[in-house]
Amino acid sequence: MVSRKFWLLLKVQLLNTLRLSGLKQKDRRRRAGFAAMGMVYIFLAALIVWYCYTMAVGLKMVGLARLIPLYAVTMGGLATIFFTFLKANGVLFGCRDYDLLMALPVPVSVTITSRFATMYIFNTVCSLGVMAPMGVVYLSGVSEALPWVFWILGAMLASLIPTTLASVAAALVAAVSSRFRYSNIMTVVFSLVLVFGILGLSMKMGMMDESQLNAASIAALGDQIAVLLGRIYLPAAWFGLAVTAHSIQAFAAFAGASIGLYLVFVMILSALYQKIQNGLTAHGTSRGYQVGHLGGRSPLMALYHKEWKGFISSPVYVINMGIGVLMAVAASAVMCFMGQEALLGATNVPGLERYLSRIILYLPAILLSMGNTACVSLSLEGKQLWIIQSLPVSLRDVFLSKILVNLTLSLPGAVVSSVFLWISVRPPVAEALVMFLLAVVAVCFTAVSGVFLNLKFPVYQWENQTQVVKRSTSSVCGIFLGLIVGVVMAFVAVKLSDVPLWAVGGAECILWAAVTVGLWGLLTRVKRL
Amino acid sequence: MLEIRNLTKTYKNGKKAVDHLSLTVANGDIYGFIGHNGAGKSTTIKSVVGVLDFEEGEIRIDGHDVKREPLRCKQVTAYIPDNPDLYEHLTGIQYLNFIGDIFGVTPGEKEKRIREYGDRFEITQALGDSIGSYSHGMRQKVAIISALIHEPRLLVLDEPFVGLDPKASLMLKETMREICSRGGAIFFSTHVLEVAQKLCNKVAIIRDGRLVVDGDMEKLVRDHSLEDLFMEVTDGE
Repeated sequence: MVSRKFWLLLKVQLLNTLRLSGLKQKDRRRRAGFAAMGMVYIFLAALIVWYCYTMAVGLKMVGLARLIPLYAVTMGGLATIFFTFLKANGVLFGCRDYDLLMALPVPVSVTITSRFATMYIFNTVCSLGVMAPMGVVYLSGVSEALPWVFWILGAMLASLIPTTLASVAAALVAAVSSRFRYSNIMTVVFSLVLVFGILGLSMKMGMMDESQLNAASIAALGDQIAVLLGRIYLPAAWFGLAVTAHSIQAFAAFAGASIGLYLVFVMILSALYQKIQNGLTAHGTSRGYQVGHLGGRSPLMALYHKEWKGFISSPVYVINMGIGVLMAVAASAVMCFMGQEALLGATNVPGLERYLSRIILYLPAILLSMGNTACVSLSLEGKQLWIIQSLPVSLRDVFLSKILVNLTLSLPGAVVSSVFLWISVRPPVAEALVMFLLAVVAVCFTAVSGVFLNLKFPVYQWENQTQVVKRSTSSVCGIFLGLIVGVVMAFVAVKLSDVPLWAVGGAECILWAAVTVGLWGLLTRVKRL
Repeated sequence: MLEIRNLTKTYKNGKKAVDHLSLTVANGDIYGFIGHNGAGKSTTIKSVVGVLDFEEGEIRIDGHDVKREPLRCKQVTAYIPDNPDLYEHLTGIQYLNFIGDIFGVTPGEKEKRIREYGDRFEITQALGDSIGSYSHGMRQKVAIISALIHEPRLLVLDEPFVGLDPKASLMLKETMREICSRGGAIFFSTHVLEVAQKLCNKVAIIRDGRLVVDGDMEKLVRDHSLEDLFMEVTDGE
């Protein structure tokens, strides 16, 4: 009976998350949305598979094949923790159907399990993108059955611990935030501290590897890295031992820890779930309000003010869509205060240093493009869409208010990161100017294209904001469109190494700005939502 | 004030939600719009206020076409939907201030009207709280005040009495009469036939998207009740 309820809840969750019902409809726009999102996902999956495959081949070539299982589990684990944490709060706690679910004869543990299972399934699919190509490289030529069995079972279990850890972190943030009056703001603050903590840790790890590479022979280095990865993530060491030494005990420890940790988490959260939810959804009431002086704003500024308040009151929105801007500032600050080597160590992209002087001009533009608040801003109107539709405001003002919120966040980021990079790299004045203009054009393009994409692929019926912010077509395309354009432009600059950088960048800047103006022109012709 | 001519709205599945519907709401009218669930009331109302597009027909508000001059029409209209989904991240006063700014109401007028209607609907003291903390009735009250803040000439309401306490219902009825006495017009849907009979001077009954009865309440009802009339014209399905 309980398992039937679990499957029913999971089915609803997956249908909602994937929006598969949209595929059955003959709506061209929705089908186009699925196709666009699918293409972005396929591109990203291909990139991850290629990166992992070449990394595993490299390790095997230098005689460090025994590290492949450790790397596979650790890399997949860290990425899972990072991305799951960004959405776990919304999936576990930000649900509109909470009242309905709690009124149903379904145990809380089943509700939590079904929500956890949704994240686990997606994370396992992502984890396979790391485990499968690295497994192919490691297991080629291995004739024994045991490593194959361990690898296949391990791929299924690999995301369980990271998903649990990320959910624990999200639950802790929610639990602590629920004690404050402004719980949403506290959730944003705690989440950002944690996210940047994870990023800082991975950056430090990258730098540690680099120093050890130069210090030891490859054989000794392999042992050092194995110990290091084992310290960072003990289950990776167990999995590595299981696959390389065919140790059943080590695999049992890996599987036991994965399942055990998850079970403990569900038990504890089940006991605290309603308390945390009540804390998060309880609103402070004053009930002593008296009408005082009210200021006046133009319709555009009133819309902007409303939009900004909506942005800062939603942790999921701030964390996911504002992180690109914070990363741009953080990366440029790292380069400014710690030197370019710190960034190179953190990215771990081989050969990057050769092109860094040309690529660096595009760095603020590329990172700031990921801070796209506009690409989900229409969808987030949700059930309140009727307000905008029935008010005497032009759609131009509605779009502009959403673009202005994006610019409020991104433009200071463009200025700060450009200044940091200018201090760090000291490019000629013309190149510094181009770097700044590229960043400004990038954030304008991001905001305008974000509204355009959201207009093409809106989702007004949603259960929690995470569905719109993390998984809608406009969200995925909005985050990656500017990034891809920026990367392509940087690539062009690298290829045209004979042409002065300011000339290439300047021409690209004009082209990018023209496309942005063109998109805005299209937006002003829209008659209704 | 409101003229609907041959309004037809067809959904993607080919079903006609509203089929060649025509009616006129004059200044001073309180016009009740009655029908079964799914008869086409909300679709008609949403088409009038610009929430839904429509394929055929014409809707004019104060002489202006809602398709050609939507902003002029919306400037003199106020709409309250059947389910008052308001911005939960704003406080009640922030929402009312926002609506007032959109309609270009001066700060002094805003303060005066919010104070007046807030006291009338007994919600002033809670206006500093987040809308997310409001009950359905409180949201409905804020939606009503937001609709009145710019002194609309046409008030379009979809089931306005749902969720209101008896006193607030009485206040809303009084406010509706006041608007009409000032020359405004009200077009609203309801399932509460007794209220419609007492409040409205005109009524229209819709069935399967088609208007089956419309006209002066007194002439249509005569010695019977609106309920009798409704059952009579809708039972032949």
